[in-house]
Amino acid sequence: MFFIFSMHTLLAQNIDVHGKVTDATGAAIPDASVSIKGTKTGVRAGADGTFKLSARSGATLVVSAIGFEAKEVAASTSEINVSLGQDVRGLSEVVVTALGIRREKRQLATATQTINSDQLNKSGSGNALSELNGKASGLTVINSGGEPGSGTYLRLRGVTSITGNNQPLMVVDGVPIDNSVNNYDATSATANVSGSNSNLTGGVQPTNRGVDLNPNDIESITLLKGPSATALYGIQAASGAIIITTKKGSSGIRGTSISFNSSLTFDRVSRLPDFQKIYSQGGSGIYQGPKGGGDRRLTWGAKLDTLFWDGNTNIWDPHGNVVGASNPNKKTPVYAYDPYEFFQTGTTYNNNIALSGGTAKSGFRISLGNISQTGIIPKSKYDKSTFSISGSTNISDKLNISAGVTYIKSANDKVQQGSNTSSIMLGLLRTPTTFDNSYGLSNAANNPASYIQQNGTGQQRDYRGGAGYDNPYWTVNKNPFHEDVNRVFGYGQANYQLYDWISFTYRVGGDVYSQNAKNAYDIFSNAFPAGAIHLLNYTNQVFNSDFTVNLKKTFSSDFSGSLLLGHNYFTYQNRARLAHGSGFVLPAFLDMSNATSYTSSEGEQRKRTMAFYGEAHLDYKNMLFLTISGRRETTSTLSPKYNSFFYPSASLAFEFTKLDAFSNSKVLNYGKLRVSAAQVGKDAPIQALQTYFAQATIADGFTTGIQFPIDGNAGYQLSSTITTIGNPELKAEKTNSYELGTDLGFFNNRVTLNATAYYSKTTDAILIVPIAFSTGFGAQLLNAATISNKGLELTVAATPFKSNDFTWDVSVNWSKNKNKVVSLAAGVPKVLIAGFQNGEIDAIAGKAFGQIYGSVYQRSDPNDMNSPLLINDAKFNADGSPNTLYGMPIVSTQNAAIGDVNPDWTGSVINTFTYKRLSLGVQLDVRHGGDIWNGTRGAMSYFGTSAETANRNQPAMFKGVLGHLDVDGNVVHYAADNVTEIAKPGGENTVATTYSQDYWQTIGSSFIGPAEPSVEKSSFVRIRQMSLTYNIIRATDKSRFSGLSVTVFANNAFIWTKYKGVDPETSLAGPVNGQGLDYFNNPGTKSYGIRLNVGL
Amino acid sequence: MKNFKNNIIIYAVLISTVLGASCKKTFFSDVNVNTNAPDPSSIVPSVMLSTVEGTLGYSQGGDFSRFTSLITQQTEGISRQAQGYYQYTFTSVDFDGAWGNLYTSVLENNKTLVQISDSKGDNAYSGIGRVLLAYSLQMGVDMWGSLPYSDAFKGADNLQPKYDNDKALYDTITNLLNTGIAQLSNTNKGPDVPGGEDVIYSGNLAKWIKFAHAIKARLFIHQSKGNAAMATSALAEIAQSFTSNADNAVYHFGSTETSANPWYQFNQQRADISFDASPLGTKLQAANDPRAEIFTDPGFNDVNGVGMGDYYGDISSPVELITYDELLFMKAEATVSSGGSIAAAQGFYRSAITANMEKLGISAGDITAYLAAHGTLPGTAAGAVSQISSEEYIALYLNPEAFTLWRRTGSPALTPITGANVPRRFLYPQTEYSYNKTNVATSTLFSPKVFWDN
Repeated sequence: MFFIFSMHTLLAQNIDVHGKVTDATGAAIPDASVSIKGTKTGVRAGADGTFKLSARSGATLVVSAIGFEAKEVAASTSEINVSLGQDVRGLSEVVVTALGIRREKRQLATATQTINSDQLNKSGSGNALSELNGKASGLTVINSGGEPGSGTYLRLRGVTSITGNNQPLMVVDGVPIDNSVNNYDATSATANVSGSNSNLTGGVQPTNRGVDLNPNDIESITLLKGPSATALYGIQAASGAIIITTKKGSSGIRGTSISFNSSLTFDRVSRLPDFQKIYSQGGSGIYQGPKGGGDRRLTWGAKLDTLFWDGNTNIWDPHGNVVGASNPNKKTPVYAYDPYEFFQTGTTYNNNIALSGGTAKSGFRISLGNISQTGIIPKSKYDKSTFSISGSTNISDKLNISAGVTYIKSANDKVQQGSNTSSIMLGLLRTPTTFDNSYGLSNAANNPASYIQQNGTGQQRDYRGGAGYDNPYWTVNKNPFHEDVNRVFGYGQANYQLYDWISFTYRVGGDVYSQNAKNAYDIFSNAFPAGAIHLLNYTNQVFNSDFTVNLKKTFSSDFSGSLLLGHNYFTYQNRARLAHGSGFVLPAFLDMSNATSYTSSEGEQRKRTMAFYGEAHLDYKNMLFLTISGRRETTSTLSPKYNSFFYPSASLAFEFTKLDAFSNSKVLNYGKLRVSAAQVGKDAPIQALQTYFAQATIADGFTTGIQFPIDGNAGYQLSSTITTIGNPELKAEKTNSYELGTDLGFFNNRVTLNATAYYSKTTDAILIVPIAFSTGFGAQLLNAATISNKGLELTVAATPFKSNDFTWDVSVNWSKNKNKVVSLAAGVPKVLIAGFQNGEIDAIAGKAFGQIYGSVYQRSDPNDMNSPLLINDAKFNADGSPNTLYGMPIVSTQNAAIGDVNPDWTGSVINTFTYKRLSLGVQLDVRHGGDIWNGTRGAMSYFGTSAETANRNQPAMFKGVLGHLDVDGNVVHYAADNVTEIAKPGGENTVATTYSQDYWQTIGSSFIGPAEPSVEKSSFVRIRQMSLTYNIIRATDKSRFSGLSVTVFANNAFIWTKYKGVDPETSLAGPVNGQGLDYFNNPGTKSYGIRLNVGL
Repeated sequence: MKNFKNNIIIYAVLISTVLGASCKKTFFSDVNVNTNAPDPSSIVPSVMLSTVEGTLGYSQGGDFSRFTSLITQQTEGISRQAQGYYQYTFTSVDFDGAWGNLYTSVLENNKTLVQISDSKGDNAYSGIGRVLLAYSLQMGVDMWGSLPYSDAFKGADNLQPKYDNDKALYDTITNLLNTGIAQLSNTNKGPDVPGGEDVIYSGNLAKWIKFAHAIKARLFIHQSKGNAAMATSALAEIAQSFTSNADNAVYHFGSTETSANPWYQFNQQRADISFDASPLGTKLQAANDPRAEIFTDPGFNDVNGVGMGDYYGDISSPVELITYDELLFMKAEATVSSGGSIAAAQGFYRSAITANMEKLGISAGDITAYLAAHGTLPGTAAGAVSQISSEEYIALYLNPEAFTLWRRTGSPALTPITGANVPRRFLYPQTEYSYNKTNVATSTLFSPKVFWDN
């Protein structure tokens, strides 16, 4: 029967149809899709909106474009011009779902959101991932820092995995691409690899490889937010998926078109911690200079207004030595230097050119992009070039072949950050007010007089006479980190439409890159005083193949369906080759041959998965849509006993406005209810089933330790503090997810609402369970944790005002996720995710993933964190000397959860105002609630540089009750004799004391004191983006140009936050699970730029 | 249609390749093997002995030496965490490193060494392994008291090891040493014999036997407070132990940054501790003790300027486990405690000072002068023990044993830096409170005391 039908098709008369697709104002809609209804045949309109194709006379053409409502027209005449209405609501658009399946959004029962190309190049940053910030609900985007090439953390909805990856799968044109972080922290003592064993607190800002993508090559990004939407992808997409569709050339006779855009952006440092500018270097109120005694490391010295320079220029200060008022040589009064002069204006040039075109049967696109960036930190740089080519051709009516390949080359000069004596911010923010890192030089980063002692020793010039922390100018010159990435990814695909009802698709794709870094520390660098060099080479390969059979059948006029059956094969390989040299012979020769001792290591990780999957889709009266899918997957990371598993999903969409009852509704013109349930699995980490012997190495928290072989003797170990016992019994993690949502359109879609509520529960979550070291090991891997997430996502879009000349569009995204680590393993109250001993990010049973954990003030009732503070009532020390901490809070020896990094909710408001040729966009982002650990301020207060320590010597009386802990740890207080201890706390504290140096160094700040005062709210309101575009030439204008526009834009121009550190959108550990730490993180940026778009 | 058939064939081939491969059992599991790790069956005792000695040397010279030297005021913490430790602001977390390295790197690998050696019949390695195990375990007991041992080192099979009573552990250590001595004395050394990888003694088994007796001497002297029999037992062990500085049990570090002495590393990377300004440093300088300029370097002015002398602070400086001078001090003390004559004890006492100074390379003239000033013991037993201990405390510079010495003799008298008391033990680590809560006892820096300290 089908055969006869298709014969009939062939016999029908074909006519050539051409025309133009425009919007309501007559402007061309580029890249619109024109397809013949009921067939796979179709073309894409060009940049100028024109298209041409051959169709059976009387056939129905479906014209659609992302962002517009689809329209059906009959192919009755040879010229057909189609005008599409704006699809404010984004409901009927065609979206790319799992496995590249294009489906009308109205048929979907899962939450998806699509971001179009024009939204992806707003900031000029060339980072497609950071551009997503605030553009969708349920999406968390955190830029780790403002440096060129730093990472961007993405998460859809909540955390579902404790130690595994929680970032969504990234798919480009149907092929998964790698988003790994290959990172190495040479300065970390206990573990210097990325991953679960690292505390991730030093080194350079890690980069996730997803930032390699060039947003100019992207047509759209669809977010598949929950397991229901991604069930077909299996393991890899258990945390959602980001489906990226690149721009393509279109078939259709219209020659070639060129588009070009160029932008120039200036970056400035956005926010920096406040300094006190009243007190000098030194301690106990006495000035000490770079060659002074032990207190030179502090800024607890004399008041600046009591100090003078003597005019004797020396290597430490061109103004001369600092002297007191009584010194006869005093010349000029001392003033505070500005450490933040260190930052410069960064410049970004972003240029892209693309050539696209086609013939009747083929289309192609070639693009070339380059971004060249200098950062706000001197010598930081990022240069990325991308070359992309794609093409597609219809070999016959039935066979279409397409392929695309992208080559990316980047070079990145990064700077040291975080907990690391070479860290830029650490050196900068601990520098006393009376020391000028720049030595007064205007070009200090390029003049060694600022950072090398000009006395022939070669030692560095810093405020501690060469010791302590590196002068930031030394770091940028003498501790270089350079990284090169060469990457190729692409796909090849064949579609064969055997009959109307059956087609086959085979797609292979690959993603291969090498990432080579060189990180050196010259002699006299404080992290490696003898000099060190690290060569870090990673190669990564991903291969993916999908074979699918697509069947469809119309059962009756009311009832139709389709079935997809597929097979997937995936391999992953990551190789690391690390070589380290230390002990340089020659200064300023940062080369491996200059080292006197060497160690090296290699690692290889491989993974292979295979799956069969299927999806059935049923359509009843174009009103009720049912989708059922299943996937059976086998993975190499689990033992053969457990390595195959199956997971199903089902979803139902009901477009209730198709019911007769709604046919005349003037208010509600569109309404859909959707419900879905799905299960997905996540496999184990690679090589997690066994415990392996390894080359022996040991370190403690203070030194980098020793590493075998030593003096020619090999040493192997089965265990160390960071050894995790392998577990052959590991099974797949399982997440069950339920979703309920509605999509509504009001007043002919002038207002639309999408709302989704979800609940998910992950069981058997694999985690690295810390175990008592007395077992002989540090941790074991278990299927133990249970995590739940529930949340609500809202997107409201509206056009409050619309006239011929003026349009105001607004869209609001709002989301709230409530995460709970229901349980960890038996007997395990918490698991470290990242951070320090006294400022950890943890998973704690019963609380949301991402608790800040550390030492607290002693409460008068040790079991009640809400009871009053215990105030030290010991007037004297044992030797009779006065107790300097008398009348001050006491630091508990017990640690507790002191903050939650998760916001209560996040939201954004995106306004677009269009007046004639002028368009203004303003995006406001809000993060409400959530804590961050500001260890930066804690350390600055210890050293006496933070603004809050300006209150030194001022009176204080701490609220609480008097008492202390006795030798057995019980709360007691002294009797009047100040010797006899009486059980329980005493009365209310009335002891007058002062904010002394002792207070700030031991009790008031987190550096060696309690972590509690370092917890701050990370809430913010910011104007993330503003842009003003003038369209000089539009597509409808008579011109040889198809478009010409100029845009001026600003990013992060305004931010309102109570956070006392750098931009609260920051992450010490980088784009990983352990968010919420700030310890000398490099600052964020605000930027201003101009962009030119040309279409030809 | 022909086209279609061809495609079908291509697909069939493709699919069957992938599916066919998957039929092999190892198609998936092969990929998951860590090819960068040696096969467990290829591990020989020599590569484990290197590890055990190296990690022990690093642990003792690292956290253990730092904490005990700060508590006993041999050094002074002047900045950051070390400053806090010096003022006794230790929290349980601070001991995770020392405890963790001792249990995982040192003891667990030591257990593996003994296990592999025993299974191969390598008696010499088995003996060395047991002696080292005894030494490390004793270091742990002396700092923490009761510890998990008989229940420990079982990995996932026992996640919450019970604690063994500290006094009983001393018996365990004695048994380890007796077995070790027997194995070291066995004429059949086994197929593999230790050599250059044995950094402590280069495979000299006679010296290992002496070291085993030195550890036993420590076991007895620790328990000799008011117990003459223990002092007598210590004397018997000392008699079978070291006879000169050539017998010293010392771990020598390498000359590269990745094999450097832990104190050198600390001074390079942290420099939060002062040596010349510490109470002991100040005292030695004031007394014109020739060791002042060996232990400390007041004129020291390199990058970090913390004033540590080269003997213990150089890149390849030794970490001393037990040395001849300590045994001589023990001998002098045990002679007094067991009721022997103070005159005899004084002879051993003077030999001890001489051995210590010779070890440090001090000239004979300086030694003679020092002995003239400090070589005479007071006439009372208590006074004699007190002076012997005060001198031994200097000889045990940076050795955790100095903390034990001070606790059991009360000499030298230390003034608390803060509060009323100087700590008398390490806190159990936070990891035990978190993950072995049912078994670990409450601890403060003052209680419970180690059994021999009561």
